[in-house]
Amino acid sequence: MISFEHESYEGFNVIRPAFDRLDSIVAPEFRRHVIELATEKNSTVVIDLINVKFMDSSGLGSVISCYKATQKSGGVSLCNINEDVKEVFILTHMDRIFSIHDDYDSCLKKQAA
Amino acid sequence: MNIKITIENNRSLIPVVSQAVRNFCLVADTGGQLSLNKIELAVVELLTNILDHGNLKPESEIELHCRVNDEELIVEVIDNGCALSSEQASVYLDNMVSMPARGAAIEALPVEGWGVQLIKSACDRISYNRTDQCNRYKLAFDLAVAVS
Repeated sequence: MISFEHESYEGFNVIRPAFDRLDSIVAPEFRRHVIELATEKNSTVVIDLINVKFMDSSGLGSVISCYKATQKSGGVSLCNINEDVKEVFILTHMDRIFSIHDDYDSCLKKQAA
Repeated sequence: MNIKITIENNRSLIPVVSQAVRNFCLVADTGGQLSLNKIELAVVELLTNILDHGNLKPESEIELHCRVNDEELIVEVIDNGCALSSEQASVYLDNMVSMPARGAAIEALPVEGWGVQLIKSACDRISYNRTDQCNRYKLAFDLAVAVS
């Protein structure tokens, strides 16, 4: 069983995984949880990865899947990505595709703008 | 310096094994010349592929041999699953790394299939051969040249 923290703001919702590995073991539940939240709230979802220290290709695939599934409801943004997790996005060139913010505040400002 | 790790056919053990490899590198790489995240990534992806697609018997085990010398870290992974077809082997061995272009449409991005791309991007060399009815993958990671 994996857990998440949630915060709601006007027009967007923040989801913060409370686990440190986004890998093939947790990726399916992570994906389901994010898509459910985006669909239920019909809003952009900010995924705060501050607790995630390692991500593999299954984790990356789940993020892509969330991105695709939530486009109509506002899409997904990412923030607080540590250097090791960012490396996965860079190695796959996904850093060019996703909306990635260095920290939580800059992401919130962007969402609120 | 080297270690051998043997794991059961159980994907929940992957994080434990990858952490053990990471710890080995921490001890062996006294100059801090290895990218621990890249090594862990490559090991996790390769083990995941073998366990998910290797047609291993339930009682099968996978061996990892890690050794480091003055120039490189070698991680050799051995399983007794089915042999890779030439097409499957070429996915590991060719130099092609398929990445999306800048501005690629999100709808067109694949959700799966990133594992081998990550292995090839994370390690410096990879080889595969089949001997004694076992698949043998060898991942090589160069030690960075120290900057004086």
